[in-house]
Amino acid sequence: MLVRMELTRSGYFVLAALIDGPLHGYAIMRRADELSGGQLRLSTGTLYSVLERAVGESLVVAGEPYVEGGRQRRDYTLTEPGRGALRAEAKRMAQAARTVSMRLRATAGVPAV
Amino acid sequence: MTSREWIGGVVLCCYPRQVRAERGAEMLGTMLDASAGSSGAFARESLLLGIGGLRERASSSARLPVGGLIADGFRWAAIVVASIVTANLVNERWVQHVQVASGSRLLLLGAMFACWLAGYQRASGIVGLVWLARWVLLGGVGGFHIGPVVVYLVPLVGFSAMVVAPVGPAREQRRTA
Repeated sequence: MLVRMELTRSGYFVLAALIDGPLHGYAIMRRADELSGGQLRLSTGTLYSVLERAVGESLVVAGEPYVEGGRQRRDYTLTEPGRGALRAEAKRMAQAARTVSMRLRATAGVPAV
Repeated sequence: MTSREWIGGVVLCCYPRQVRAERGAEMLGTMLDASAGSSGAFARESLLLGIGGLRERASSSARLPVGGLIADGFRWAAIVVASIVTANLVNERWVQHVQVASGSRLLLLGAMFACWLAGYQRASGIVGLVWLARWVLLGGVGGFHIGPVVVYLVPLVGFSAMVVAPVGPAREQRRTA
């Protein structure tokens, strides 16, 4: 399951890659790499595992296959539940970051070991 | 067909036949694009794709009902036992250079694995049973031994399950629908 309490890191960036519109598999990999600042190196195996689960949970819909530049492609589109899951995860992460930042500021004088 | 396409096609055999039929060409295209120009990247992509395929096979087992799950456990156990025996035979023949008559056993095991990876479970089970019969009756461990019954019994049940109730594309499709 991709969404249990929170999105996986790969799932989050794969869904985020689709915010601006439908993309095929390789374009998703490149966009996810950009969005993560080069920190997420998705492999093909991981990408399709994430996409299959996202399609199964109706977060993403898969289009019909087509051929482009000699390669078979299929575009994936973010659904409204997918946007909702992404929005909820972004909010959860922002809240978690705020909480930790506040605690760090509040304990700035405490010596670390 | 380029050599990379051929290798990618072989690696894709790690995925269940249903997945290969639906997305194999698309996955191969993505993998080739993702690893274009770098043999290191191609090796990494191939390895991770193979792991992803085996993981997909294992996770498709988890979606089975209890009876199917038990049968699938035996099928996997048969594959594991066969893998251990294969590794042992390969070690004897090409590492330790022990002159044992392992050629036909390796051939049978190779055929069994090839059928299993290609998704022909019934054929794989039949070849597995032939290998097992040869192993037990013709002295795979130095003559007929009834002692290590579990070693024979587990793959016997597993290969029999493959023959009697193979998980074919139609059944995979039903359970993933």
